[in-house]
Amino acid sequence: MADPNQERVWFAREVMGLFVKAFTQLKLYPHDHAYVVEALEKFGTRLRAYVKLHQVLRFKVSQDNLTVEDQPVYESENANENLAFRLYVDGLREIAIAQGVTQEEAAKLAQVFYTAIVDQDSDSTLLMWEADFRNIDHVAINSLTDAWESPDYFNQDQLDLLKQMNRDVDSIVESLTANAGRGTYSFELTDGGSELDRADDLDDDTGEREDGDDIFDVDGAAISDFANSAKVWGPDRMLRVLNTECLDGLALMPDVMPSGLVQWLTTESVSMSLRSRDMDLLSDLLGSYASELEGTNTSDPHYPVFKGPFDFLGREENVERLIRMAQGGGLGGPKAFTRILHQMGEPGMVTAASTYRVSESQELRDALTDYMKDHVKLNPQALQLLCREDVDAETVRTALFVANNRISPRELGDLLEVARRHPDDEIQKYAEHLWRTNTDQGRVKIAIDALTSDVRADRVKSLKILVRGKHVEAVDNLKGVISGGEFLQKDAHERKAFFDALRFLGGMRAVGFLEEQTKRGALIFNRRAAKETRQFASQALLDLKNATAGR
Amino acid sequence: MALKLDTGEEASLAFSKSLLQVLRLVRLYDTDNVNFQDPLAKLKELIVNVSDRMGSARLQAEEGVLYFNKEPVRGGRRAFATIQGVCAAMEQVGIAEIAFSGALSDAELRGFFGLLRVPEGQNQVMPLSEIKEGVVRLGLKDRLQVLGPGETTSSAQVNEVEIDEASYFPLAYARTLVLLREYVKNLRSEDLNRYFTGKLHRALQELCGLVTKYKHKFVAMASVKGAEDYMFNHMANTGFLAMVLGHELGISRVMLSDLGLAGMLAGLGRFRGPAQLVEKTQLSPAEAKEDGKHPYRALNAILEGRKISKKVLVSAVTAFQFDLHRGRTPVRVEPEHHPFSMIVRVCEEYDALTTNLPDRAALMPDQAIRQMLEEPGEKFDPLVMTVFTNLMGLFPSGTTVTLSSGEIAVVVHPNPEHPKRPLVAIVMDRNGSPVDGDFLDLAEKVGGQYPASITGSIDPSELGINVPDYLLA
Repeated sequence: MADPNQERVWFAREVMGLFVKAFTQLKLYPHDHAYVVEALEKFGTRLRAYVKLHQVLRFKVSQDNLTVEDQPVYESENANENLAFRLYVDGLREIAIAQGVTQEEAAKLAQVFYTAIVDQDSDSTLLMWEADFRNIDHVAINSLTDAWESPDYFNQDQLDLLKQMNRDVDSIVESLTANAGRGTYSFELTDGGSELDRADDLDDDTGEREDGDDIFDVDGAAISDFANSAKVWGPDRMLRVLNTECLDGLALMPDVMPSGLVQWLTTESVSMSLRSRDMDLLSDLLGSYASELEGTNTSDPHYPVFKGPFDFLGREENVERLIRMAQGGGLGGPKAFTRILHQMGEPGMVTAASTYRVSESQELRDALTDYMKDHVKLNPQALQLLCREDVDAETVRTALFVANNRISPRELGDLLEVARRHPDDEIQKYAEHLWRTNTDQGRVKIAIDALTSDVRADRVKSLKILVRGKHVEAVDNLKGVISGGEFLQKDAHERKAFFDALRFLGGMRAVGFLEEQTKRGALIFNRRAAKETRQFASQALLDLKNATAGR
Repeated sequence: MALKLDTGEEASLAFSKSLLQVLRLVRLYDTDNVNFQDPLAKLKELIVNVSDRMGSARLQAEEGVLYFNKEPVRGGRRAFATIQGVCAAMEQVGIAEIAFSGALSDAELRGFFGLLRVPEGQNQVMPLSEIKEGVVRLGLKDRLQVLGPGETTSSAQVNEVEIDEASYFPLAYARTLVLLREYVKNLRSEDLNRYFTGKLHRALQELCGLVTKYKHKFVAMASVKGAEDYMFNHMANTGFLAMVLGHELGISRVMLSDLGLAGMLAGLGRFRGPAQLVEKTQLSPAEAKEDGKHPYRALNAILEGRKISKKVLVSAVTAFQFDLHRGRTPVRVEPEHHPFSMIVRVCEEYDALTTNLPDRAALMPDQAIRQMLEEPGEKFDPLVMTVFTNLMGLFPSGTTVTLSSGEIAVVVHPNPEHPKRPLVAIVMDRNGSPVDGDFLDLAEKVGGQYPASITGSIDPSELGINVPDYLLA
């Protein structure tokens, strides 16, 4: 049977081996990446298995390694990535993981180790302490009682300052303890002044209290409420308030609150909200910058303070982060995301369309559809992203639905140009339908086609449309109809209307054709119609000449 | 009925009470006795409830302090008996720590508590080693852990810093003060700022670990005046007081360090302002207007390092807000107030009032509290002010008092049971001659009589008394 101590060592090595793997993944991938999540889970599972079996995993920290039962369980040849060294220089001497450690705590521990290694400015003792683990403890040296060590990056003046500080401490301690040495009373731990009695009820002679009367009675629930009210002040809330205060300073005391500092804060705040994946926060911040921008013109020296964060957010890499946040459940959900898009202005439409393309959440898609319906006029071209050949038919249909009746016929025409090339038959038909009914080009096409309709009323109506819209592209079609054999069978009014339309739309370019029509012959049955037609052509030529002469 | 525990404090107290009830029953009955049924069922449910939420339910008793999942069990006066009872009951069975990390059946719980009974024919419980063997035998090793004194795995052990009070607190005070001074002076130097920031944060973290046990030492530290320039002394004292007041208000350990830093940096804006205003209390309208800029100056200074962390945010927001009640600082919209700004406001005011300044003599600690209590309106948050008053007592540590015996004394520790009868150090005899500062407990009767009563408070500087001499050592 294996020596139980040795078994502990092997097991601990396995746990630390899994940490090393998790560390590699943490270095390589975003921390919400599936590889990272999986690696942390394996580390946590193994760690929990250890403490389940052996109750406590206690690492001793030395400069070179971590040990269990005096045997190394973690070492690193890479001096820059040696966890043991980083923990040691920060004063950590022991880490004890107790039974009950949760998967979350294990993952948090791995994150603390990771930060300790990669962030040279961090203090691992402080990180362990701030993590506030329930089932993981640490022992560290007491930094308050040792003289300050001299870091190697200090220059001579800074080293002299440290020496002076140490001397100052000695001198203050001396002054504070000069008259010490009396009494050896040891303070008892009490429940403190919270049990003081009501001053007015005290017996003046004895100072004793009446039973049951508290002087300043404090309700335990009130204290609990107070402590909870402090807890709800997370970094997001403080950042909002800090922004408000600094913007106040900029407005009211620009001599104290420099615009460069506030500009840094506003941009950094946007960056922080992206890092913390908090779309509610980002939306609130942008809202406050936008309202400041409203009353500021571009020549105002404060303009960059409020515009800067929008420019920063508009950077390609940040837009990509924003889109990932929207897809990956950033704080605030679709509502906050669409508020952000609204505050972004014109670039918001491109971001919305880009997000819609990759989104799989129906809730997000619905919110984006609503957003695009309200904002499509800001940038109709953005919808082209959703109509390309590689986009699914449902998405194209949504884009066309959003665009229909909300953008100008010309802009719609551009969009339908793209949609009509989509490989899906239904989409092609729908786009064609919209193109014909809702765009100028479509309407002309219909009118031109109707010139050869069997129904007289349609033909006359399309002539009116073409003339009213000055659609000169119909000239050739008019010529085609007029020169056709069936033209002479139409009534005189209609024939006259065709010649008027040709004159109006063709202008001087129609002269040659009209001259040909003045010589138009006919078979025996259409002589009268042919004669009228020649007259209409002559009249049209005359009108054209008159119009030219009158110019 | 499902137990609903909204806060960690409720859970810790409920668990402590439940365990105490079972431990008491163990002394009276066999564990299969019917009286165990309900208490065991309740404990069982609490174990499941707490383990689900926190991973484990861990109680540690250390020198009369009870920790539940690393946090001291609170609950004020009503919880006192429970805390004392659990500590005593655990000590009786030789256990310093007990941790449940998963559900246990009725039979398993009965089996475990059976191990804690005094075996028939013997007069004491079995040794801890045998209890541990019993836990393994019952198959509970992976869900139940018992540890003896010196074996504890959690905060009780870590927080139990071996310190010599007489030397530690003066040193801790001096080092924090000097560190704060250089931190504030060198905010613009990248290297120094990086170094001092780390050191200051660690110093505060270590002090926070001691607040629970040594809160009156913190109050004592805050009574030191004149060890440095007024500004730095004032900033440090505000921070110390804020930490201990925050602790009394239930602020968690980690947040206390943020609060301490916020308290210390609250005065940063004034430090960056005109030097002639720093020690002035009577201000002309123009001076008051200039002074009103200090919250914005503080923001400027704190953000100068171009780095935002939680500590930076807390410090900046608190430094901006704590002094807004004076109405000297223009704002477009009144901000939401962070609770820490309420704490710092009280501590800053108290320290300023109890410090001698060129245009105003210091008030005695008791006078300062009275003046603050009598402030009209809600200048100070009523709850914060009440808890502060309770913390300091009628005669706060550091108050110099005259006694009915004619002697002069310095209050070194309030007495919660007898507010008018604190522990004092006699510093002058009835003839006005300095004496060695022996302690006298005014609540301890000698021959059926109290040794003396307090007749009033006096200014120690008039008598040449250096109060910290009697408090820190």
